[in-house]
Amino acid sequence: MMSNNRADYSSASEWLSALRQDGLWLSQLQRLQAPADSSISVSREEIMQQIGHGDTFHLWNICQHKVEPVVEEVWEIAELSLIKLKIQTIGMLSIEWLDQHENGGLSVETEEKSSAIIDRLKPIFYGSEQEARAFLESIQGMKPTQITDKVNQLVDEKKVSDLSSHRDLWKVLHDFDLYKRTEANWNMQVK
Amino acid sequence: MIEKKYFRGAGLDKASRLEGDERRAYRLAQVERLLTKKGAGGPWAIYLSDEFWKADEGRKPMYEDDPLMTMAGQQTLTDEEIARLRLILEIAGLCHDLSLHFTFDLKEAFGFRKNDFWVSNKQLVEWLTTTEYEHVAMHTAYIMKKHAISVYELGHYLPAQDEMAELYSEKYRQRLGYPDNTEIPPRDYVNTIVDSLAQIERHWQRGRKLKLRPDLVILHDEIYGVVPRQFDKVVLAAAQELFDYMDRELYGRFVTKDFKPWDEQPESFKQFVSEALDRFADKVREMRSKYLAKGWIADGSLAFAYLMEHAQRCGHGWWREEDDAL
Repeated sequence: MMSNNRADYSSASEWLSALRQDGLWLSQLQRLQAPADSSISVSREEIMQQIGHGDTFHLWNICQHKVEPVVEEVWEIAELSLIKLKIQTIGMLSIEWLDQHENGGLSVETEEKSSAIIDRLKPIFYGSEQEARAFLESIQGMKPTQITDKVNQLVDEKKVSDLSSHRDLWKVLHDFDLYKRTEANWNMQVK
Repeated sequence: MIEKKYFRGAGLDKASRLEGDERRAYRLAQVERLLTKKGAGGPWAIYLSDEFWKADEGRKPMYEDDPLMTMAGQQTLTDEEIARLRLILEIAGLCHDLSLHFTFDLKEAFGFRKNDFWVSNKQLVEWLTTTEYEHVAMHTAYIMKKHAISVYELGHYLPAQDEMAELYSEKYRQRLGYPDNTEIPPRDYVNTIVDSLAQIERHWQRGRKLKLRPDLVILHDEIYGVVPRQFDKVVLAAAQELFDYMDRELYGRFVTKDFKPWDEQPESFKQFVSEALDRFADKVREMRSKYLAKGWIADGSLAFAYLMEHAQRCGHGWWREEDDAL
């Protein structure tokens, strides 16, 4: 149990360290780690309500969602009760946690997806993972006609098998939403 | 130099012979001008204050041997110079207190009967909401807010303390920052502070009318997590149940003979406090399901945290301080 008496802390960072060990934050952490559909999970909306829209929220935006400088500033102003600052800080730490873990989760997911595409592209690129990876990277953000132009170029360079350049390649790209047009359209563009 | 820098063309010489209301009006007009004239680092009012005093409360001289502030230095001045200096110091003093947000003598500055920054001072509220010196009013209202926050903090009235600390203008959809750094027009800025303070004051007047104990009023408001504008019968019943529990099971239980910080207390004591507070938390949950709808006082909410803090204070003997009613 942490003290809510300001005099018990020599600085804002000491208070923040105590908060990181406090039961209230640890139980919030447990809720954050719970699956989204469980009864104890907490939503981003609920967390934003904890922060509110007063001075702390304003400072948090100015400090680009960095918790420590916000706590130091609010501590210095010394108008808010430590109870409210505690709830708001738990909210800010929660958003920080979500940002780290949601982005982390996303990159893991992207990595897994990318690996699956390369596995399927490899046979089309004569078994070369390097060529398959280079192709995948090169078509990011390309328009459909630019993708088919690229494929024609690779066929000319003998990096892609002529036989696989039609249905096989179209299916991989279509399955992973990298080329959304029809197979007929693909075949009209690819030599 | 100070005269030329801050009062060029301001008729200081003639004004230094004014007395009473006329002198006061001149002073306020000059302070208003200096509060609105902006330099690179802030309004000119703070620059003028810095010529004489440190930024601390109580007007402490910036330079101990400043000839303008010492008897010996002032004796070298002519009567006219002394008269002008007196007026400059009056203006600079008010600039100091207003810019840095310290309470000041309302009788001397505004000619009021009562030197009271509380919202119940009708003369002050009337003046703030109608005066032509809108920036003086803004800063004075901010001082009222700051003063109220410290009173609420001292009275452990956390919902009111936090409401005022994070005051927000619904009309302008922005927080009430420092008067120098807000886009809210002066009159609306003042009204937002005065209205919020007045609403809290009226809430307490109703509470007194209903003969509610201060701790019961605070418990009622803590259940809301904010200061509500009315007393709700059901919430009051819930607050009464907590009040009775705290009175019976918690009051004074955490008081120790030798005061030590929490970290230095023996484990057995920490365990005792922790268990007592856990039981209180269970009591809050029981009361929640008995009286309130879903969404009220959720575990981990501000309302729940306010109640837990109240229980802890009660255990330490802060309880039933009717004589200190807000």
